[in-house]
Amino acid sequence: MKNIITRAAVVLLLAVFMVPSAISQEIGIIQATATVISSLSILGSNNLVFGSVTPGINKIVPRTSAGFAGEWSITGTSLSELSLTLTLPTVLDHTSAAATMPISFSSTDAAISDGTGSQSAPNAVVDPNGPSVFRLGAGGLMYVWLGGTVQPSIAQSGGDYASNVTLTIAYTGN
Amino acid sequence: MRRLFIGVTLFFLIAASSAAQTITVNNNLVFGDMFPGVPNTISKYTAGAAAEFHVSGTNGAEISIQFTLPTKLTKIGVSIQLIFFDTDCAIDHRPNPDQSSPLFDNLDPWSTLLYRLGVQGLTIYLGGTAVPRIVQPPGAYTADITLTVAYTGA
Repeated sequence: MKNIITRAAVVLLLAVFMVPSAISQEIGIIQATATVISSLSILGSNNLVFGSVTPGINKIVPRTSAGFAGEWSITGTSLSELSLTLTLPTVLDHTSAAATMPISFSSTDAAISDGTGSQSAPNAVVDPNGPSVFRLGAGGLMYVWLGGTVQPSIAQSGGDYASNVTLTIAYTGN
Repeated sequence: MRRLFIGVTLFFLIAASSAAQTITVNNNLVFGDMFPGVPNTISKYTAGAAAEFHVSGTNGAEISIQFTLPTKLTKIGVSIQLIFFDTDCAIDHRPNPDQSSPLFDNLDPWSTLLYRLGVQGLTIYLGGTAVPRIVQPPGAYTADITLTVAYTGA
């Protein structure tokens, strides 16, 4: 009898210790994961060059004019969608005097290529006055070309004129 | 006396085993490919992308549920901001939990939650938002999300 009571007491103690362990907390861990793709890079590879202009005579540089049309080269993750926004000037500023020369951009003055088109035969013609959305090519490339028109007045001051043309790009997430 | 001994033993063994609880991780919180500068939100309703835990234990028992949430996804030397909103968690303790329409929705993962286990236990879903910078270095980022559960005794 004494032996049974002793064994029962041992089991009771063991069980008492087991119960707290069973109701103790349980912990589960997972991971949050993400893979960031390559950042975009953009290079202004050619200025929009009007060269010499004659007072009173408009001068047009077509977007297809290599070496004169503005050109940007973009690299990023292949086939990713980008938004493109051009910030266009309305005048060119005299570099050393208080004079300006009007400049304008028509709705067909820009074009893009995803690497499969060329400046003379681009993938799409783009209105530079509004934002646009295009995908990088399979090689992760995109080119943007920009033409424009300057309108010097008859009394246009002589000298050099310049202004910034800014192309802003961003992934859309698509 | 021998019967008493066996009865006492069985009682405590049953008590101990019925109180056991386990957490099974069914799914990580997967943001997938992310574009620099483009925030990415994973909804708690999105199967296969939202985090999913399953807790099993004694039917009807109340448990406390507490997350230890990271604020950043990291890889060596760099990080991405990670946000958990106060509605990013949901729980369902029905036998067939529905992730797209959970029984208890819009729960705050930053708070301690108290819910009762169902017949099949309880399933917890968690969404989140990652905010990479525009110049975020490419690569794989990770963070641990820890879930701690315990019986309240209620």
